[in-house]
Amino acid sequence: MNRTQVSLLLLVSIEMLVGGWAVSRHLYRPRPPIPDLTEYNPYTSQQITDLAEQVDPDTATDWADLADVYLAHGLFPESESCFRRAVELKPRDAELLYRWGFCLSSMGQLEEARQRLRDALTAGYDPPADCWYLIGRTELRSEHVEEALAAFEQASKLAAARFELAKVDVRAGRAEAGISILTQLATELPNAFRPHLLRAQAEAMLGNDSVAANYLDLAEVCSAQLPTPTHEFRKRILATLDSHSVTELVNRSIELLDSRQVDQADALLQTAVGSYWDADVEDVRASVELHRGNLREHRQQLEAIAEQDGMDSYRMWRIGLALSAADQPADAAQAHLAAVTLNTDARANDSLEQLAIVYQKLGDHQHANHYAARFRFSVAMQLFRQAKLIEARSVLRQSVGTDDKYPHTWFYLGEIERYLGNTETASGAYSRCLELAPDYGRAVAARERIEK
Amino acid sequence: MSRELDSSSQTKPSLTTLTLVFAAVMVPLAIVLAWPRLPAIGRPPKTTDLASRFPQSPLRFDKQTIGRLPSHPQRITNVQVVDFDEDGRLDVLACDCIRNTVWWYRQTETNQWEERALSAETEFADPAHATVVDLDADGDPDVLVSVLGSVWPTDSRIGRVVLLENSGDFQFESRVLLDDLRRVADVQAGDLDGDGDLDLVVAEFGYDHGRIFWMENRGGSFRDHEILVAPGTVHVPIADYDNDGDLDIAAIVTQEEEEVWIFENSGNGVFAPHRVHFTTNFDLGGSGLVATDLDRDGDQDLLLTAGDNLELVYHYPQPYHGCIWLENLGGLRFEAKRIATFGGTYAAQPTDLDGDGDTDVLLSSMFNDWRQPGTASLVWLENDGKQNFTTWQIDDSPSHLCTVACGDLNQDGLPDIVAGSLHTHEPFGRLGRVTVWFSRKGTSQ
Repeated sequence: MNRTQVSLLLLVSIEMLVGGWAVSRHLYRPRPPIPDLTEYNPYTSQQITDLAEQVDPDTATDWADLADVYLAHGLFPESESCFRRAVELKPRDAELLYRWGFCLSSMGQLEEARQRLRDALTAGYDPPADCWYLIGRTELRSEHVEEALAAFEQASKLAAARFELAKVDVRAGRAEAGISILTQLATELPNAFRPHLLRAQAEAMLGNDSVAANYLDLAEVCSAQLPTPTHEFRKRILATLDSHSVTELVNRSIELLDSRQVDQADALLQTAVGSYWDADVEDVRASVELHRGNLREHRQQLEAIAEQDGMDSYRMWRIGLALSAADQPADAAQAHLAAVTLNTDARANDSLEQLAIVYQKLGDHQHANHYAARFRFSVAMQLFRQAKLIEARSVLRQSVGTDDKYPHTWFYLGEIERYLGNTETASGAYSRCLELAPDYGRAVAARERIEK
Repeated sequence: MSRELDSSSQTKPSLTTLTLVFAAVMVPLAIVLAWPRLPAIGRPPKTTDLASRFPQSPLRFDKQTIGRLPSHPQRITNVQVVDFDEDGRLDVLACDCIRNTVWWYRQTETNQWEERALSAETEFADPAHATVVDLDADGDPDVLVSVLGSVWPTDSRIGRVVLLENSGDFQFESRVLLDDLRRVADVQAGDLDGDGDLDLVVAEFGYDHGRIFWMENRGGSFRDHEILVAPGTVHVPIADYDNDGDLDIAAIVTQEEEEVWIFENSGNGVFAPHRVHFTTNFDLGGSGLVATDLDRDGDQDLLLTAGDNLELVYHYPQPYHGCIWLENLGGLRFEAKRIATFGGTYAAQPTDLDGDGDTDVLLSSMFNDWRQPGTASLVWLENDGKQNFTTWQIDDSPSHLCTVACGDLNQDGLPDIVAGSLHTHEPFGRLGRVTVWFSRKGTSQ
């Protein structure tokens, strides 16, 4: 072997040694954790496993996306470890640091969460106020009030941070300082209920009971949440959950049903879920039977769901509709009555409308009018909660025009008139309510308030 | 010719040299080409395990399911141990949010369990709590039901206060005492205005909005009077907290704030509010409040459980979950002392479990990390007699124990434990419904 060959041999040996070492290191880089999901819905479980297997172990965003999915499914330890790996790969990524901090705070790892959020700020997280707000919230969870205040001051661009500052003021007995912040918040976000509730507390502390009561009234007809970075994050996570769970399958099946591809929807459900029982999937299967015109099977399917997962207004309402479609109005009325009695969700209101229709069909005009009035009441209540007082009053008046024996209708008519400043009309409505239900406490209190 | 050949053989590299050159080029090339395709076969990054586990209890128990065996996730929100039919044997009442009823598990003379629904399935939805009380003072027990309307968060007015009125032969008629309420989590009875009849106090939990109010008994009908406007009241135990001879109301408010209130009875239906415990930790997850004289010093203390967090969609045990003893110091002052840290703690039941003459505490967990093996669902806190507590694990299954109660069911002189499972979130591997742990004599030590 000549000198050249020796040199080459040496080179190849070095290449192989260094290459082997590098390949071995590369091969043994961390792979994504795959949690044991045997006790989960198999469709969801498969979706998660597939995603984990597709992760490019060298790409930070892949790790972070997997972390989001784990976070959405409550697999917090796995999520945290994925965020940690993502940050190892891209240590200066402010967005990744922020998300990791959020995950840590969800796990109650508050000190570490704050550290990651501060790292995100150092890395230039934009907008920084979001980071400071989350830091402030974790400080509150650790009962570090001064540190929380400092963080919320940094985040004071956000209405939610200023609300927290006001809350600390009110808690500390500085009602006036709190009120000053809350007044500004009410101008910015008049439909947010939390500032009104806190304002009521502050006014009560100052002995302004009637003003406090007015703010409680206002809170009652406001439904908006204060916008916070946490809500935004939550929205994103919920969207992730929907796209990586049975919900995605259910939504796809419903789309197929809506476009009349009934067999395809059925096949999709069958292949994806198999024999695993899931109430939402079974509900779509009931719809498949409905689309095929199999009313009896449709109803049986709904009853089977209720047997396993419980009866509620939605399921009763669907059974009522199926019975109406099968031309069994008396049975349909019973089902809708049960939906109304259970009153678990807004479908109870739809059943009120159906009852009016069914009783009209049965020639029972008295009951038909009663339920038509109740349905109008429910519509009015939705308007009331959206602060659409004039519209709500109009519908309530229609309701009492059809049936004037329902005390709640008179009470809310009184409430709306009082809100509108028509105290005399309000008092009259409360009195009618109390004629029907003499112990209606809220009506007694409201009438006394007017008289005062 | 031969010279030419000779000269070419001198300039031409040998096969060995060529092979080595080839190798020197190919080795790095092969590595570069294969590099992106190399799979990751290393260990996944380490995961943190924050689930709660404890040493096995020295007391021994025999576990048994009463009623139907669970084949799918169940939703039991409340269990109570009570001699309902006053036959000398303790029975079990259970609120069932799947079947929308209150079950009476009656213990027969042969210690068998007879199951009976106290109401039809469509009379109300999602009962949160049942309180046995002779509300109409006719000498038989009635049942007050706190109707949530939905175990899921909503601000809709779907709650109710319902009385299951005993007609005298344990046939029950359902009567709505108040509706148009947001979700109702608890109703308790007591003579609050000192007129000799039973009034009620109601925890209208709601979601974004809620209230605490009392219902004045006016000869069978009830008039509601507002006490506090705040969402998230879980329990409203009634007791004489200031030792002045009348009944006061305690309340745990959890939704926007985490606080405990005492509403001091000033007479004539007037209640003065005192906030006796408060934390800035809005995420504490207050889940229950139980009145008990834990230190047996003659006044009513409170046990606060914390473990109800909705972290995004799913829950995770937090380091501050557990049980806090609010020691009554007199004058409506209470001192908070943590007596257990236990992820997802949902219910507490004081009892002398080891029979040593002091009060121990049973705790159940609804939201431990159920994916991890061996995570505790039921524990007891052994009192050393000086209110120092040691946590012992009784069981890890079933999971999602939302409610716990205690009583000597089999009349052997030892307290037995009943718990109910509220399986709202996956995983559903450790299913349960109404489970009893019968105390065994002796210990494992």
